[in-house]
Amino acid sequence: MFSLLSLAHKLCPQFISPNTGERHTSTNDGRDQITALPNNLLSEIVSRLPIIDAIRTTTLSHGWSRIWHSVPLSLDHSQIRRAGENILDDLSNNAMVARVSSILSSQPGPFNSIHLTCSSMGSHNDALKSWFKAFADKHLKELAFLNLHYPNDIMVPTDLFCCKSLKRLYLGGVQLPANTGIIPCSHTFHELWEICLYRCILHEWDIENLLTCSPKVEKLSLVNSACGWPLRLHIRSHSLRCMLHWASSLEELAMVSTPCLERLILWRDDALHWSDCKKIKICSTPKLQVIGYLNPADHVLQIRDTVIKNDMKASAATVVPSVEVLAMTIRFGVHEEERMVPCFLKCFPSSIIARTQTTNEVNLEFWKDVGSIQCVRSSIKKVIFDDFSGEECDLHSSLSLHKMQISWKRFTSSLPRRIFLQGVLWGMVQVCASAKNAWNYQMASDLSLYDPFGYIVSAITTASCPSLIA
Amino acid sequence: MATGSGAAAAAADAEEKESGSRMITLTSNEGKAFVVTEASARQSATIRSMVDDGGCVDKGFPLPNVDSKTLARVIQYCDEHGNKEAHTVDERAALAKFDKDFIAELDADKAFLYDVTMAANYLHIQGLFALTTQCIADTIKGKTPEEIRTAFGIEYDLTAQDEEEIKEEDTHA
Repeated sequence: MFSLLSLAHKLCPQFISPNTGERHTSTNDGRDQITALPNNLLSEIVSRLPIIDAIRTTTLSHGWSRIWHSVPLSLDHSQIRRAGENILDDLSNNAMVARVSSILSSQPGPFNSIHLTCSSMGSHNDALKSWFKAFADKHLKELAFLNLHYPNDIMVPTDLFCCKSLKRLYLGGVQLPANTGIIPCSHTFHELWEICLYRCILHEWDIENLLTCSPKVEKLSLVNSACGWPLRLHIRSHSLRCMLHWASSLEELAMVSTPCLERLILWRDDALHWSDCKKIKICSTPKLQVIGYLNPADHVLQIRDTVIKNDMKASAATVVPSVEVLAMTIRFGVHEEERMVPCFLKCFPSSIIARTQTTNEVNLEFWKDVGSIQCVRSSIKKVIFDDFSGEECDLHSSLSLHKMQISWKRFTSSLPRRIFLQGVLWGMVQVCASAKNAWNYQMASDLSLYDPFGYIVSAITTASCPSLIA
Repeated sequence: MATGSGAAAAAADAEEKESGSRMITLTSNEGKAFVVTEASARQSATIRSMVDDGGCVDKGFPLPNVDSKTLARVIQYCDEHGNKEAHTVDERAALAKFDKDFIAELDADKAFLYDVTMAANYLHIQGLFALTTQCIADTIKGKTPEEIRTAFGIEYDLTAQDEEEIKEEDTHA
């Protein structure tokens, strides 16, 4: 069985000196002034140490022996891994599980944050249960638990629903507990602010239960998550501000009642195909500001009761006036998809930024018709083409065709083919070949960014080329 | 008080913006007076709340727990962080450089480092408190207990009971 000190010893054998009981002379001035500091100061110091160093302070002296126990626990698995250990290796993983168990049972709490990456937890069911019991008993605030073992067959212990102090919850490679015996209610996670489910196998009721249990949740992220059957998610939350659906699979995503929703992020949800089209339904979202990337090849957009089709006239029933940033993925040259661009623009007539991610060469012929749409005339200030792959002269001439006066500057930087064009009609047209993988879901759900899709562009323009923004 | 403090804070903020250069006197436990800008003094949450609550700005603030030498050093930090802007990358880099040099100098005199840490704790100067406690933690990091005891002059005085508790944890954990 592992123990706390033997843990420290095993990780760093040279660090545990034999108890010689000798008196030590200081290199300072012989006086021990640090131990005389008030306990809250010593606690602050210990809280800033990596876990192994922190545990080691318990053996320093009488004054130090209980300090670590009074510090809220922050445990990151990377800090207790020995050099050369690989979690995917069973022996290393067993050792890791034993270490975590040892630390969790030694520390009386409260637990501040626990970040664990494990594998093969199926053979450590008892340990897993005792961990979640400890999380609940010791008031854990932030949990990131990632199971690397495939398939994602680890069921999270039902004690998860007893972790009432959770503020952030990240689960990966697991299933949520079925038959918890706990009736979901708003007291369950009354502090929970952010939920991220990464590579989880989900049922519809998992998400609905989580939302019911979390009356203050502002961010819900589904990343690389899926299920083996058609998943229709109906989102109801009075607190949710950001819904992120990232390379996950579902058949229908309906924002049924989300009065505080500001941001609906859809990204690469074609990565896992279970059906041809996903319905994105926007019912009650009075504060929705940012939506995208809408993809006419994959998405059927429904606003309230109306499915948006390319020959529709705009009406009050099909308009979401609060949206300011609209992002689309369009294959230019694919007629059906191009024709959806004006439709989407009509649904969001207050857009200030329209952003298109192009998967083909840009051909701007079709923007001719787009010019007559109200928001293009009145409110759009910026049109941005991400991942532009055509020739700049083509773009220049197509825009000229539409009698736009354009001044453009070649942006000299290490990134290829980045061009900024300033068009009279839209205030600014930006074209950029962005680093495709630089955008990630953390940026996309960062509520402090006005245009979450523009992270890369704005970072570049403000840092290297401020004159273009003026 | 609770109802008035918000309004007082707003008024104080407005006043600060107007005058911009109001001066505040801090007095050490040896009776030595230090005159600082309000922006500098507001680095301390303790003083900030006293000012915002309409405290005796004119009379100054006596600090019975801080000696002159420590207060002078603390003010050096507050001046840098309170009086200078930190909006641009360059300005932030300059402040980071200041912090680095500031703490390197303090680290050379551990007793003084503790005094400044205590003062930062008492005055609730968050940035300075983080800086000094991190510095002490960095000294502890990666050392054997033996080396830590030597570095800080800690005497090995674990009682039989302490050892028993540690041993018990050792077998139960």
